[in-house]
Amino acid sequence: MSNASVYDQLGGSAAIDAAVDIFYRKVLSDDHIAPFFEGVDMMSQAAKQKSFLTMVTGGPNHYTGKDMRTAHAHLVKRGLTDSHFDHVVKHLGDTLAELGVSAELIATVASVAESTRADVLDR
Amino acid sequence: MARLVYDGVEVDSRDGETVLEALERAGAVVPSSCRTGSCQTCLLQAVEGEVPRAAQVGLSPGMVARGGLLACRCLPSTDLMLGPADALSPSLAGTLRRIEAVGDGTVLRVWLTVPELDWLGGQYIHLQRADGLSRPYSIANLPGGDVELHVAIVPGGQMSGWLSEAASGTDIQVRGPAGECVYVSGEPDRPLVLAGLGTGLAPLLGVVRSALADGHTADKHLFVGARAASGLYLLDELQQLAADEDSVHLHLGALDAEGTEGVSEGKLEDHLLSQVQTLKPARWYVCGAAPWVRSLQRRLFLAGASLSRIHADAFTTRSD
Repeated sequence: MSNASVYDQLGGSAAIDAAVDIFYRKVLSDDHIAPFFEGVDMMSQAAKQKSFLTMVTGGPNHYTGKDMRTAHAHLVKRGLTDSHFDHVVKHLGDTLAELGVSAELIATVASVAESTRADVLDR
Repeated sequence: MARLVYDGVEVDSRDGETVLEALERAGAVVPSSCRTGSCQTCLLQAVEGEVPRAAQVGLSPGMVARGGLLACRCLPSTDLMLGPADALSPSLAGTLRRIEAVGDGTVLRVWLTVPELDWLGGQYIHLQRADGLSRPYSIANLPGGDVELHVAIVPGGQMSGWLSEAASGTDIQVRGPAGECVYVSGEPDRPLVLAGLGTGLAPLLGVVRSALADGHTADKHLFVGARAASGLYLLDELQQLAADEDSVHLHLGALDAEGTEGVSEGKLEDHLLSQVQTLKPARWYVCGAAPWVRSLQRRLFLAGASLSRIHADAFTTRSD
């Protein structure tokens, strides 16, 4: 199992749906970052959250930094900064912890998420 | 290897390559987003060829039947002649049959004959007038006869104004059906909670009727609301449905109940949200004006409902 991705260990696509519920609920309940999600269509946003969670847990994905940069550029103009990014990474870790992922693997996932920071913050 | 044809591009797929990857390699422009089979942006239609089941996960039965496929999930096993998903929704000939003002007269119940239309309860169609004016309306009944629509009369609204004066026998074009606010088969024990404001009732009736036809046994809580009690419509039919079907529970609400018996005064969403804790595993349907739907969707989710079990149909109204 040591080579299996977190994605596979969680149980693939269906488990990611459950993770999206937990993760997105944390994000929307966090007053520090929720304003960035005002007026956003929840269902299309959930599809993006699923792509993101699939990518950071090592599932099949087609991540491009360019997409991430384009998608967040308007938020950077509205004041998206490191502290918002940090909150999202924390909610990601808490979500995986709730799903029983080990601290070691959460650290791996967090480092993948960390690798998107420059793209998300457009620098 | 399979030969793929799409939008003037012809390409042989390579081993392990999806339709989306092969078409992009050949220079075709295919809209795509998540590439994991969830967003359905890369939906295409196979006009010829066999579509692998794995490329149809999450598509409606209608789309599956008509060769819909997610290009990002499709490893072709035969040659495929492909078209854009628009081809899934051809224009069909229809005829207006009967138009009846209901409730306080602000809603039209419209029946039309569309011989070639098949749909799932809760889906919507676009009505297209001869001059091209087109508006979406939800279907309130199940296939097997005329299509029943509920049309809110919008002050100054072109289509609703025209419909309120249209004669039986008038020809009209129909596009569709579309929409994912539909009954999900295979979960007869899962309660359904359905909430609609105004003509949001129409798709909910479609879903309830589908559920009953499918033998769904768990409770179906139908919350129907309007600004004032006089704006509620089809009350006799709704009460009859609840009386005939033990599993259907009707909750009527209005901001101003006007002293009407059986109508709770207050916001429909407050009645609904008070049920979330007890009905958490339910499947939720929310239909009505877009701002109300978006807000309720979010509140239901934050209160514990699963996103994958919240179905929404958000109506946008054009007053021209």
